[in-house]
Amino acid sequence: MRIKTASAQRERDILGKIIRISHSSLEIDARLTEIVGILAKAFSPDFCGLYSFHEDKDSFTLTASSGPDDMKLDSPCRYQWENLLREVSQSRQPSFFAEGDQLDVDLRRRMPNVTGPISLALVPIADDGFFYGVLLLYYAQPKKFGDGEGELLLIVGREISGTFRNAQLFSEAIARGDATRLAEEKDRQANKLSLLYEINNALLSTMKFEEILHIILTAITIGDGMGFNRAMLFLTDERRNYLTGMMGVGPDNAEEARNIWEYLEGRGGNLARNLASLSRNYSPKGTHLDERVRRIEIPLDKGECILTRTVREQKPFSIDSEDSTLTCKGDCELHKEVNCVLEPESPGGIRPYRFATVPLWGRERTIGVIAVDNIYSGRAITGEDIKLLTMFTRQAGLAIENCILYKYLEDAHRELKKAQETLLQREKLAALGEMAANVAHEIRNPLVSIGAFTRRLYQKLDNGLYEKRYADAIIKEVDRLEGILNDVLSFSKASKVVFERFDLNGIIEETLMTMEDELRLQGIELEKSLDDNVPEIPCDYQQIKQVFINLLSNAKDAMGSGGKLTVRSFPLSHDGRDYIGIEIGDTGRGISSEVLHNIFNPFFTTKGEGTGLGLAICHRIVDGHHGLIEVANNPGRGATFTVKLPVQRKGADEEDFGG
Amino acid sequence: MKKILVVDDEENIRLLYQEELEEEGYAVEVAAHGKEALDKLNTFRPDLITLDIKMPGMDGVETLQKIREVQRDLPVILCSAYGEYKQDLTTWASDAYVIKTSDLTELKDTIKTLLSLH
Repeated sequence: MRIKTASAQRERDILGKIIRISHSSLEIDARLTEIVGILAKAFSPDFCGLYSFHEDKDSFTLTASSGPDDMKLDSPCRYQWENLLREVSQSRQPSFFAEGDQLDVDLRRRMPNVTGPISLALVPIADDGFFYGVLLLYYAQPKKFGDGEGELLLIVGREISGTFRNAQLFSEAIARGDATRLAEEKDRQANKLSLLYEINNALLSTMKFEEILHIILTAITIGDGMGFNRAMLFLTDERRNYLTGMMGVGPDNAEEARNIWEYLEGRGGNLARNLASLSRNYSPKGTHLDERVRRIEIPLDKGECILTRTVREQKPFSIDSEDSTLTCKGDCELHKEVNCVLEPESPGGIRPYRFATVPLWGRERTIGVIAVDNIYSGRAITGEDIKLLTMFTRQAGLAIENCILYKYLEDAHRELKKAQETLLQREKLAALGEMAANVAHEIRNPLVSIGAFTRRLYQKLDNGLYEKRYADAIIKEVDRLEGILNDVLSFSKASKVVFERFDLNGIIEETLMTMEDELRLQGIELEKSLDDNVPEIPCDYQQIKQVFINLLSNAKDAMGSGGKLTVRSFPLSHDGRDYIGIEIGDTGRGISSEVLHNIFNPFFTTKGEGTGLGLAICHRIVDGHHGLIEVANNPGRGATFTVKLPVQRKGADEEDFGG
Repeated sequence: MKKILVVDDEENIRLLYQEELEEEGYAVEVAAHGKEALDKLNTFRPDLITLDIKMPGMDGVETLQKIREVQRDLPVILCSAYGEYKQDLTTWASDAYVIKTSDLTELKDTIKTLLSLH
């Protein structure tokens, strides 16, 4: 999934720069020149001009420009520009002229010094009924303006209009004498906007849940961010109706706080990049505070808790212990964990404890709450602080919600992929089985002839003849080949299951009986614990016996001589269904991790002899029974295979009876 | 002497079964396909038939139906390299089903048992 397109990012960057400049404290003309410079760089026109309109004189002047001098208003093409500008001033609509498009012949004729194809963009600098002029972009070549570019230019036009308007208000204010207050106000406004812009950029840099949370909380606590001492984030768990602590960011004591602040002051640089890189290095093993916040769980209907009230009432709270009508009684989990009330015995007497909460809004509901405090600095939390924090949490809430949705999507995607892989594996096996069966049958007839005729030959030859030994060798090899064919055929046949009720313990006992001698010969100890409460279950006797034979002989082969074979049966529950578990464990070499993922694939083998079908057959048979086969592996110390077979068959599988 | 008709499309198998069964003391005739088998039913009048399933033209299962139409009680052993025909209901009309292997012991035992029952 692509989170954002490159062009959208580019547009945001351009706009971000322009917004910062238009809110800066530079003189208006300098600001306009800067803006034109940014536009010239971003759109690369051959000439970019900002014409301000003077209502009293009904004329335009070129206020800022970028490009050759002869393009300016007092050059030979003055007449034509002025005409075009006037049209925009009347329509208040942007015009885009492109060669072969709307560029009329007359216009071209009136510009004798322009010979090649040209393109023009004229954008009104207007907003809310105010009109301040026209922004003009000129290209000495054909140029198509994309929808995104057109819209961006319109927004830029509005932003410049705001700059003009502010300047106008400012000069009016100077006339009234309250310039300083206004300038300060404007500075703060500008800082706020660019801060939010920076944080937003940082939030866009990741889709990882923990990183998003960490960026949000760091932005709240970082010095050139919002500068709170500590920040804690809680999300609602609607299913359980609880408010759950997700993360806390902030120093654990005043000394640590000083160190961090000093460190951050020394860093400098771009806030967005700092935030993003801080959060990328973020490790889940957080601070003491973080650990404690993650332990907090508060029932959402708890009445007196400020946190849950914030969620319920969807409004911010600010609690100031010095002067407050709303005091926290300190009997909630938050208090216990982060000590959020007065510290009466702290050295300098009673220190004011200030904290505030703001709700986290999603698209349609409150998804949580952010709590902030100034426990170390004791700095008062102003209405301005809360306002900024509220503005920010609107962005933050959306980012978190997006991220959660993205996580759902990712999970769903992963599930789908897993299902697809299982399906593929099954198809692969089915195709392979069919092919194997065909080949096996074709081989079987000639093999019968070879083997049986050699047997006849063997009987006719006198004992002691070399030829008799040769015949014997052929007979043995043919027997082996026929054994392999039986393996392949039982593998390809495994999809046809004949279900009847059988006692699994009985099948195991029978299988073990046939192996007793071999186990004794190899000095293998047998530890058997079969649960008498295991009920009879529907299964295909032959197939299940085959599974036990394969697993037991694998276990036996893995141990060589000596060792202990463990066989257990027991009832168990899995995903709400009843199963019987059969565990077969050995004390052999175990399975090396490189091959572990291969063991259920057909024709995979690590044994010197064998077809590599044993486990594939088991897997297939167990699959046909809607059961599970799992392996617990301990390289060098042994492996334990567990077969889980359902006690009840699924209703949808009745057709298996007909097979 | 009991008479056995061996039906198989593979010459080597026919030869093998004929020699092995003759050594067991049976009179053996062979047929290469279903049509020939039905013809020999009347001329040879066998006491038992071994019948291959996969044959060109009329296959063993079809031949079995035809045999049953004229001789309901004649013992027929289906011999095949294919185990899965066991699940085919039409093969249940046979008296036995033996999967071919190079060791003919199972086949011989089955023949002996069936002949002693009849």
